[in-house]
Amino acid sequence: MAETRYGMVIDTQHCVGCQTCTVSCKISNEVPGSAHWNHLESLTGDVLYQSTGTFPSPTLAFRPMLCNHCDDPACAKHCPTGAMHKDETTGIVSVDQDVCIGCGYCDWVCPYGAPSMDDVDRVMSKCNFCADRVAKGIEPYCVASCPANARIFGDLNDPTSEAAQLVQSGKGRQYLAEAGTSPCVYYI
Amino acid sequence: MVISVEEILPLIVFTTCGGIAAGAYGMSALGLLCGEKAAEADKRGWLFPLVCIVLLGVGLLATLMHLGQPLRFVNGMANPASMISQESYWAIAFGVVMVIDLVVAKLKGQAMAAVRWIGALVGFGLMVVTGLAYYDCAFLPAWATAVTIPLFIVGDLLMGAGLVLLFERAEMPRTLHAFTVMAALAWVAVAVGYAVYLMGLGMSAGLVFASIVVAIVAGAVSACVLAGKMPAATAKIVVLVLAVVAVVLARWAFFAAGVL
Repeated sequence: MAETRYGMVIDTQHCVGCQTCTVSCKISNEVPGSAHWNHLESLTGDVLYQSTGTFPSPTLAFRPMLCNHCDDPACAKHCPTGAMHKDETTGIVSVDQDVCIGCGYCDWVCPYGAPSMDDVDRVMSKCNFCADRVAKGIEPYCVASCPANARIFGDLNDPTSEAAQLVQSGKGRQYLAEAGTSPCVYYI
Repeated sequence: MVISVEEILPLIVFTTCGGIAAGAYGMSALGLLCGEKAAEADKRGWLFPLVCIVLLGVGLLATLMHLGQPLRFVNGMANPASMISQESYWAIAFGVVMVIDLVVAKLKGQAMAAVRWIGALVGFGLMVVTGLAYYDCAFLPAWATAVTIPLFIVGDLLMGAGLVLLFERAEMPRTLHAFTVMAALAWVAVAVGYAVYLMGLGMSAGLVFASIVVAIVAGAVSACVLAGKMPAATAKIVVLVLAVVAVVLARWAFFAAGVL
């Protein structure tokens, strides 16, 4: 297990679906072309921004999606080049774009559809938890920009971190845990 | 994810061209087992491995079109646990065996059954890992079904049967036509299973049903040859074309349902 295991807890009851995280990530990380490292899904239905349920209890809720930086990432396991890899010291899953051949297989096997084709450089790109910022002790852009404070980032191996405490309390649940990749993003 | 037709086409070309070669070696080996010696006794016995080498080569070139960085294709063989890497290993091994088959056939004037059998086994490995590569995409429902693997194996054998027929002398191919009928029946069974599966997902299976009809016609043509109601020389070309069309229709549906 990594010494540090960065992860995130996202409170879907706080998320207002404003997509500031999506835009902030795209702009701040200069994510090229049509690639995207964050996106939003409907929490309870198939169509974003369409309520579900019936009066008097309709629901309009969102599931912000990003790379789940899994402990056993399918993308790294299936990548033919080894470009997709997990940093054992931080737990962050990244892609080495100098090695990637752009076959797209990581996107096909990822339960979260996290890898996104950089159609400018024709290689895969993905969320890296803003590793450069995190190395300096600064939280990722999506966390810093969220107006609802719906995202809590931290070391899941550090019992004093808020993220670890939320996971330990059982409030946070992994999405698509049945995929068996042991994701490090939890949802409340 | 969204992927264009231009991105699907290389996958179709690779799985079809490489699949014809692999299936043809399988069917050729089965023919040898049943006493068919036509191609081996023929002075042009070297032509069969040569055509298969060209087909595999075209398929492998097509895969480069699928890559964002084709000049880095060698990187794609770095992870033995990846089915994409496995496809590369098996395709290269299959190519090497076919080159040996070509050289032996050219030098000796006839193919060695042992080489043809090794080619069949390695070709079968290529069919299996190709199926597994798509089956492993657990979150693409149209692919993550057990039917995916026989969809590639049986499809390759059906197309391969058609190619092997081309190299058989007119008076010899009864056994191979019988194999073609069996392959067509197996294909119909697999394709029906896949069509039902797609419909269960709420997806269109029209192309798969079209594939079933074409495969039935291919099998019927071979059955007519067996019954002596059609000249073998004409039938073998028809069977090859129909077999390829049948498999390509289903594979188009397969790739479109998976990634479009």
